[in-house]
Amino acid sequence: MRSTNQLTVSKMLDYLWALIGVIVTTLVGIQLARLLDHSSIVMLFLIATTLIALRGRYAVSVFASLTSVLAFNFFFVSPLHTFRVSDPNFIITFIVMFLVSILTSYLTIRFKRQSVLAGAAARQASQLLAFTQALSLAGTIDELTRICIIEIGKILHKEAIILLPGELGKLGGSIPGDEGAKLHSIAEWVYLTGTPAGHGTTIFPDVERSFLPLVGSRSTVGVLCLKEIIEKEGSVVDLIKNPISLYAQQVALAIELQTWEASLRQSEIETEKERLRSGLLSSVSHDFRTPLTGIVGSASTLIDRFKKRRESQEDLELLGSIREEGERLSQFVQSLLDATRLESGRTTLKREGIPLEELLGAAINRLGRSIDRKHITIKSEELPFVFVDPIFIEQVFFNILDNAIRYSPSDSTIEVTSNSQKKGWCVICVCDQGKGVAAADLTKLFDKFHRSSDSPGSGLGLAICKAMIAAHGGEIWAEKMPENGLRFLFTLPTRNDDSLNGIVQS
Amino acid sequence: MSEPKSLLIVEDEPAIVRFLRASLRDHGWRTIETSTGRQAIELTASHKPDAILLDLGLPDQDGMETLRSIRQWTSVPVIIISARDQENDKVMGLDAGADDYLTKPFGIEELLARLRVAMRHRDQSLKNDEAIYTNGDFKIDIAKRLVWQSKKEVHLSPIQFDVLALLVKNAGRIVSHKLLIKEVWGEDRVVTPELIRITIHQLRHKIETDPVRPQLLKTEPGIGYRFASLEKDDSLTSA
Repeated sequence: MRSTNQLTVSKMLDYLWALIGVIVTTLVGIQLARLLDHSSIVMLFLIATTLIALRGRYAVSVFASLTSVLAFNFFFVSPLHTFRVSDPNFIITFIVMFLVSILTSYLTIRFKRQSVLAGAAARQASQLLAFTQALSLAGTIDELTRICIIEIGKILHKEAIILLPGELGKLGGSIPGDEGAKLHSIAEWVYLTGTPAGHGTTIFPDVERSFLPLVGSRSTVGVLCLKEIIEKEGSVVDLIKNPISLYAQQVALAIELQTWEASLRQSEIETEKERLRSGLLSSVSHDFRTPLTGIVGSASTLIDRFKKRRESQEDLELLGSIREEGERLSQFVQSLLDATRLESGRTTLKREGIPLEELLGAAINRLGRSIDRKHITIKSEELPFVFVDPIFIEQVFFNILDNAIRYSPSDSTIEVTSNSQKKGWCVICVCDQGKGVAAADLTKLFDKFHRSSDSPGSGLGLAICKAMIAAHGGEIWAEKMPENGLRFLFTLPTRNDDSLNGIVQS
Repeated sequence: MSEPKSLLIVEDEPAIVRFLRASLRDHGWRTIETSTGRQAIELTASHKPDAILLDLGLPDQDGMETLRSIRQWTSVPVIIISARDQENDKVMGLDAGADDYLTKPFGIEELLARLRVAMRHRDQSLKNDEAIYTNGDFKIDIAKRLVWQSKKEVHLSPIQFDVLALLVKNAGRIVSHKLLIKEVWGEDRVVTPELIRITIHQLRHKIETDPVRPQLLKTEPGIGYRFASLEKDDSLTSA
């Protein structure tokens, strides 16, 4: 309503100015009537109407032309001070005067409008350029949206919100206000369909905001949500609307560029991180292994000499400890390296078809000394043919058996069985006769650095198993046995099918 | 042999060289030592060692390069030293002509066992007339293509026998997948790893008393197979 009032006031003012113009011309004309003839006075009125036309309103011009003709008739044409005309020649003068006045006004107004339009177009172009330049200064997506909101407010007098995709391909961000959630779902629709909606469109025209999809070169990169700050007077400048779609396009391209730059930066960072990580890994592995090789080798040399000389049993045992602890430390370093490498997510599986029995055998072979020390029997039934990375799965058996042996009493049995419930997969079960763990600890077993108070282990072995099994798309879990003992179960693919990667077993 | 055998140690870590020198001397070896690959090549030419122990991580050049240079003109047994998680290096080393490898950290008895096997293999290739090997209840007559387990004859397919014979001839040494394919099937044949795995699996079930815990035919994951050493029990007398 406020704008309508303003419009009326400004119109009234224009009429008033026109009237004043005609009155002033008339007064000047009366002063000069003795010096000038009628045609010169008509010219004065034409100058006045032309000047009034510069205000830019047709109606006002017509009003000015009409009052000019009337004033000329009343004050200058005899009989004076009446609207009657004695000389019919003056009728022609009046018509010509009126028509010339209207025509000049029309041409003046048209010229003026065109110059205003040209000015507006130029201003619009420079505004768009300034907008694009401002966007290009942004270093991050956040900065970009901030600049964008400020600039759109300045140039288009609109309150802007930019909604960008969040996780899982859904539109992120939020819209303030009571209807925020509803508006956000409209925005989401706009994002998915790439069609504008809201105020000024045919879709959801009742809401006060309008929604524009930000369409990049390949896909919709977000949604621009706009709300008028103040309704402006419908001046001539607005005849060419600032094409919002042009701005939306610039924003979309800037966002796209920014995303590409960000992902490029990210991949550069990742490469550098990976380089540092593998550099660190190889230097750690070298720096630990070299002294450990010296320790284990020297201890074994001394054991060899002491045995020959039949030195005291106690000394031999001490040397044996140095050697075994050295080997254990080396195994721990290996576990740490394995865990770090698996965590980096850069390990690639080298899958091969292989009888599982072979991998179990290799692990048992490596564990030979500790199996014999505790007189543990390892029983196994027929195991399936699996498609796995042999080195990984041998390590899984090694870690699970190492753990089982540690908790098993002497002269006990560890059993390895398998069954296939789901097509393409088998479940492997390793059961021991140890004291087991509390039910609450069953899931914690696979956490990194989880270890029971009396455990001599590193707390890494089972976490590594979990990561290695997960890399094959399988699962690993532990169950308490009805009597004593614990059983570890894990799934392995029995088919050579890469699409099985990542399938989670229920 | 009256003259002590000589071993060239190519290793840049003094602590490792020290224990190698001490223990090898105890077992009748003479050692020549160097810490660089370039000098290793020169010493191999000038001193003609009986075997070489080569660490792959050398300060001046890649150990693999040293190995390739040495292999261009001599078949002297070379044992490489590498870490457990470097299966690729081991396979590459074996492909480049290394006879065997040791995984860090290693004890002296492992080193001596590898050296014994390497030396025996070198001597055997000179007099290739030993045709019967035994290990506990296992016995094989390569010339007659016969195999026994616990005094009972075991029937093997021709391919199974060829695989077993190759492993037995290399008893105590690592036999890589690549060598196995080359020697049994021929280089031109396309053999899937699965075929080798299945053949080994079948063999184990025929010759091992407990196939789950193999005592004769052992797997080295990612590299190949190693047949148990037959040195103590091998016999020249025909059964």
